[in-house]
Amino acid sequence: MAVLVLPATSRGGGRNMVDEERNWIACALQGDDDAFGQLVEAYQRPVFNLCYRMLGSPTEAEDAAQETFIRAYTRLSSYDADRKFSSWLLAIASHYCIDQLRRRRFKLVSWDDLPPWSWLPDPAPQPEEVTLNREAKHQVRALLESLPPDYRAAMILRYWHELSYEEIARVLDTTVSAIKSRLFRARQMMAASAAQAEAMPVATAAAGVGGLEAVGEG
Amino acid sequence: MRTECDTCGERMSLWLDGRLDRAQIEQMEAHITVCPICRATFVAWRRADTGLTSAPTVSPSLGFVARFQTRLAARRRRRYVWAGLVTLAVASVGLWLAVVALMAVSGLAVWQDVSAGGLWGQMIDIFLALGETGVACVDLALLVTRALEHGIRHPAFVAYTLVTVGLLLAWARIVGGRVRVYSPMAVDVR
Ligand SMILES: [Zn+2]
Repeated sequence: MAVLVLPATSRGGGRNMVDEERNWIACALQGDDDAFGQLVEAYQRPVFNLCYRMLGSPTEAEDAAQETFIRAYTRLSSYDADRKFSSWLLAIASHYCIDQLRRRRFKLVSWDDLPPWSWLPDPAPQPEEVTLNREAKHQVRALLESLPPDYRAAMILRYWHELSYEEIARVLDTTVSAIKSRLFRARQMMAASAAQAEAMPVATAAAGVGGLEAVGEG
Repeated sequence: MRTECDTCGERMSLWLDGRLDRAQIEQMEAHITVCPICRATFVAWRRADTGLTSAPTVSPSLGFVARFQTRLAARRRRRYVWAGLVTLAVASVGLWLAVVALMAVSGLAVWQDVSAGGLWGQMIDIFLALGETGVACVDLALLVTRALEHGIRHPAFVAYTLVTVGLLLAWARIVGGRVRVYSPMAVDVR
């Protein structure tokens, strides 16, 4: 319990990690709930992160991540063993969150109305987490918020889950060229929204990050 | 028509994702140095890219697995309740269907009899019999009345009437006396 198990697949893992995961899946299929619990333990972090980045609130992310694992549990028999288990989970989570976001459009909930997310206790805070200031957090949130659900999912899978175009396409059930254009369009949208935020004097503080003079550097 | 800027935009996106080869990178850089619009875009995109890259992977709060197991158990319980309700609903609907089917079958049988004339015939017979009984009863009453009319002056009838009235009075005297004896009011009177 104390050991935080890293997902076998996301870090290239060892062969025995993959074998262990196969074993857990096989046991879970036989009705062993503890084995499924091991899978939840191993993948809670990527799944939660995806949900959190998609939905922007820790409360909603918790709910979405829990639902993802419930769905995975009930559909485990349909899992194709040739596929990465992490990708399969991320696909369930992405579709769930995209659905939630589409539904939320009718609820008119603003991210700023949601409870602050700083309370979130992190058992093993990342060094970046500590050094990141509120402005940077807000900036990331604002960037993602400017994207429609499917584009946001592609961006998150690309940046936090380090998936290739092919893997993202598989997770989101689309083609590589669709992913290519989604990421391209997403970058245009993010830049446009950041420019708009900078144009508004009140919002500048939130959106401001140190300018990066990257042009021309080899 | 694709302009050089369109191509450059797509390449910048691919470059950020590490999907350009050396030659393509050089072409992109060459365009950026001469095109101020694409240069501005590049700066903006890289800024966003850096922002996203520097954001950490966020973990759920402790006890996620335990919360999952609680939720799973609750979901299972809910499923059992639903299964029970559905079974109950199906059973009661089935029961009702059976009753309705039975009624339909017997109704159909009756209808067939009725339309075949068999049952109607029987029912008409019954009504006719009832009618005849009624007529017979009326006839009987008339007969008794006529008999009384004729016999009222006969000495046997008079004798019979006197005896009957006498007996009735005697009976009334005896029973009436007893009734008075047992009446609480009569006790006071006595
Ligand atoms: Zn250009």
